[in-house]
Amino acid sequence: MIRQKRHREKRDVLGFRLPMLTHEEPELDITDITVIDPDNTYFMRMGSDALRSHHILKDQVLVIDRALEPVPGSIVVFVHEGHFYTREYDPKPGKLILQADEAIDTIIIESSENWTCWGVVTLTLNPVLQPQLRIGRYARVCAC
Amino acid sequence: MVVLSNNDGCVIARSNEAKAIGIRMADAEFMVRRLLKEHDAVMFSSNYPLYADMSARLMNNLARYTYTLMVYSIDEAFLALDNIQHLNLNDHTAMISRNVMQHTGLPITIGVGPTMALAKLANKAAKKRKRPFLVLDTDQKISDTVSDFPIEDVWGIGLQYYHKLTEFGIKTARDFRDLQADFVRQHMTVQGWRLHQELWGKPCNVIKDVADRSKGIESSQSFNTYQTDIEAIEEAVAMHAATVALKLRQQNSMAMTLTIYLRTNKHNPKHDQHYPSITVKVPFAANSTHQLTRVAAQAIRAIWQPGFHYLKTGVRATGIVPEGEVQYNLFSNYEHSREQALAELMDELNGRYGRGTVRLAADSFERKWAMKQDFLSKQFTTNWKDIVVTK
Repeated sequence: MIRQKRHREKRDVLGFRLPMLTHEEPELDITDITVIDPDNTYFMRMGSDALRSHHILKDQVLVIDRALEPVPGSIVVFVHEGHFYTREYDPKPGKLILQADEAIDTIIIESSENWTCWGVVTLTLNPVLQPQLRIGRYARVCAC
Repeated sequence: MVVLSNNDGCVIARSNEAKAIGIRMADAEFMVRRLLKEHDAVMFSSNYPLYADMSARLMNNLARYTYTLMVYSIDEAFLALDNIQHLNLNDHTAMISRNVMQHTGLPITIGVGPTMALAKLANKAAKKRKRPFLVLDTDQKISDTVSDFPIEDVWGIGLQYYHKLTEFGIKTARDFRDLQADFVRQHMTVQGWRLHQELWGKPCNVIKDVADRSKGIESSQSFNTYQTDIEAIEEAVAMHAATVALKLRQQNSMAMTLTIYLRTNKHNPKHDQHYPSITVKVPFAANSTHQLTRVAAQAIRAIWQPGFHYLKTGVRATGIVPEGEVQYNLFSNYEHSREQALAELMDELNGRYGRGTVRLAADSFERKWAMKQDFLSKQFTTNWKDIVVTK
């Protein structure tokens, strides 16, 4: 699950106590704006280039909320026979199309075949650090 | 599909398909290996970090529908629904069932009744009828359901009572309910009498809110200097585990899982960074210093790595359940009263002469931590290395 917010460790101050310490607010936490429902948020990783035109590239981390119902145009994760697929949700009369950039990756679901909507992708994490900087502790940026 | 116990010893959970081919609880792994292979079935080792995480997600989802949630075990909870009298109970239950299943992906069954015993009975009846929920909101529905409900499946009827009641010719929950209250009181303990009352819709057990589940109980501290050596770190971990155990005993609860973590100093750019953490199941829910220390000390050895300068370590207890409501493992040979007596004595001595007066010799542990887990599924929700890759 999404971890509880980590607070900066309080240091004991000897002598004069800085006045700003009494007005201390918790530091900004990126999960405030990226993870809306922590109990129902999951992370996955994009394993293909099926949605490059949506700026979702291979190896990006996907943030997925299972509490959301998809609407046309949503990026969704569907599950079928133990495999997960990230596509654009495009319901049409009598069928459901899971759109991808290329026709070969597009999935057309005619009837109630065993395809289930697993969750809605709310955002993706796109690391932009150059490879030569991805060393030491910076190797952890979006690394899985 | 089957799930194996610690060290892949024997079967502790089975899917319906596995039950159908005749695999029983507690069958040894080597006995069922061939049968499973013939039917293309799969075996998994117990994946406690995943179960703990999914359990917490489930309980937090359930908590949205009630003011009072009592987490009864890793996969069972009681919800007080007295806040929804203005709603249709059936529709409301259907909504909870649908939402929680969609949000967690866990197939849950809900039983609703005027008492805890009847709710539990409704749950079991719903499972038998392969329905997602069953609401016993009228006397008629209650008497219909108890009439063919086997007595041995009633909550709180153990093997001993089952034999005793069979002697009296009691076969169903209805037979038991039709007994005179005085007769029940005479032949059974007060627990049996309470059960009798509850089957008539008179509440004897109360749904208690369990102390803030999200937080857990934690003990942690930074070292005074960097530590590299496992002996010293283990000593600190043992101390934290003892503190957690004490806090658990003070609030009469027990922990089912422990998280042990270790940290280097992230503000020191000269040091390599390492922030390992591990969540382990306590063999039986426990609050004794002895047990928690042993688990924590084994766990720390699994995550510690040589060469790092560690600054902080901590122990956090999660999966906290009330002391009286612990479910013991099938093969439990846990000597509860002995452990309890030892723990109480230690608390008393430490209380009188200062914390840490009496401690366990934390360095005498067996070092074979590496649990056998050959068929481990991934830790999809607790380990970045294991998150699902989509197509």
